[in-house]
Amino acid sequence: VTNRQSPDDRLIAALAERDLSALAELYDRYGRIAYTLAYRILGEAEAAEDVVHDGFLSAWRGAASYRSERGNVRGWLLSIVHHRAVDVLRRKTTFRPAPLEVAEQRAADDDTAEAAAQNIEHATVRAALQGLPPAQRRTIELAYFGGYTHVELAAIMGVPLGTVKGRMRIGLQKLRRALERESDGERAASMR
Amino acid sequence: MNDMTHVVDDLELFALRALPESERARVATHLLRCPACREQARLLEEVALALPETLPQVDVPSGLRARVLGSARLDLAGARRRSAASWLTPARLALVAIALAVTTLGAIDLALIQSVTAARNELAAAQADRDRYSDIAVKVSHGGDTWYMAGREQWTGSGGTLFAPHGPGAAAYVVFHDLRPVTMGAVYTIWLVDADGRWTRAANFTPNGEVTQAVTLDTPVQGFAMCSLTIELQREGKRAGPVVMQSRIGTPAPQ
Repeated sequence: VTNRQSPDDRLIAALAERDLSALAELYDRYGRIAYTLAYRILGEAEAAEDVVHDGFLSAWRGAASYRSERGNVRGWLLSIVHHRAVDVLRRKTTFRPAPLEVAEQRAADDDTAEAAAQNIEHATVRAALQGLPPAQRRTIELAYFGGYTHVELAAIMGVPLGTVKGRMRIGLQKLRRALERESDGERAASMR
Repeated sequence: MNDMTHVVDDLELFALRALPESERARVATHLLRCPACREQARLLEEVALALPETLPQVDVPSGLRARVLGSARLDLAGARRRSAASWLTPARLALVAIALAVTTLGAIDLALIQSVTAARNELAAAQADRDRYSDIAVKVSHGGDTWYMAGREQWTGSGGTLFAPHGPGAAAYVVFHDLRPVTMGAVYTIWLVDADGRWTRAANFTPNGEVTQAVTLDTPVQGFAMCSLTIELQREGKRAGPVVMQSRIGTPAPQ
């Protein structure tokens, strides 16, 4: 059974056994992406650091509750960090209908595309996100990175709730197809 | 809306965390019970979790790794200090309680005295926990009834002993062991169920991460036929979550 486990699953098993070196390895694998996510959501180094610290500690303490059938280790860890970061953001910023430009400043960087292009992994998904119609992309980014609820999004974007939901649905469908293409491409490359 | 109304329309919002907490709880409750929606939610969450990869990676503060590992090291040291508490499994906890009670009564059984000595040595090793367990032991030494609940299915390995002391004004409580963490926003709820199947909420709590955890019930157990532990997303209202463990209980005999 052990041989069928992915390296990440073995890492989590070691984590559940309270192996500090496993935590160090988990951090080395995912610390940067976790911090990148937290920093993007919170926009403050100190708050992002706290969230990542708490997220890894939560993983350390809760490794026994991880179930591989519900998703991979990276996703599990990023979910913890995303969840905590959005909670911190929402506690800090009681909603007020901000103008769209302000909201966008909070949730997006002008140089995102250029800087992200240096990251060659997930190029297909990144391209798919950039290729979405601006309204769909903004809606997804404001929700995921900006911590806005659908009601808040409807208010700041000046559109009905149904439109917000529709933009998310279509946008995520396109991203999902991009992910599937990326996955198919990786499979084909590995068979060559 | 009943619990089996599918939540397909909200799954994108759920995956992007764009639902307010109350609505998120409603969707999460449905997902606990609906494999079809749960699978759909999992696929959408996979897409959402690819979004961080679209970000330009930033430099991580140099001290963060050491801070994470330092906190984990402290946590580990704390767990080792608490290892005495792991000695206090439900059966052993009952032994400690009985042993202390017997000592109080002046019994001279050598084996029990040795048990008491061993128990006291263990308890002394866990200074921070000692008062709590002594308190438990004192309560039990006043007499009372106990029932053990074993974790079901994926909660196998967890358990809890319900103590119903006979002392005047003494509240019933449950000493749990090996409770699993719950998702953010969820709580464990202890219920008392009467013979007619009415569920009464007796306590809400979140696991503290320790090996054992004592929780006092807000409601006396007299007159109830069953004690149950569930996971809930709401701190009040009717039961909605899955049963983690439960046991039949009887009305404690009058002293």
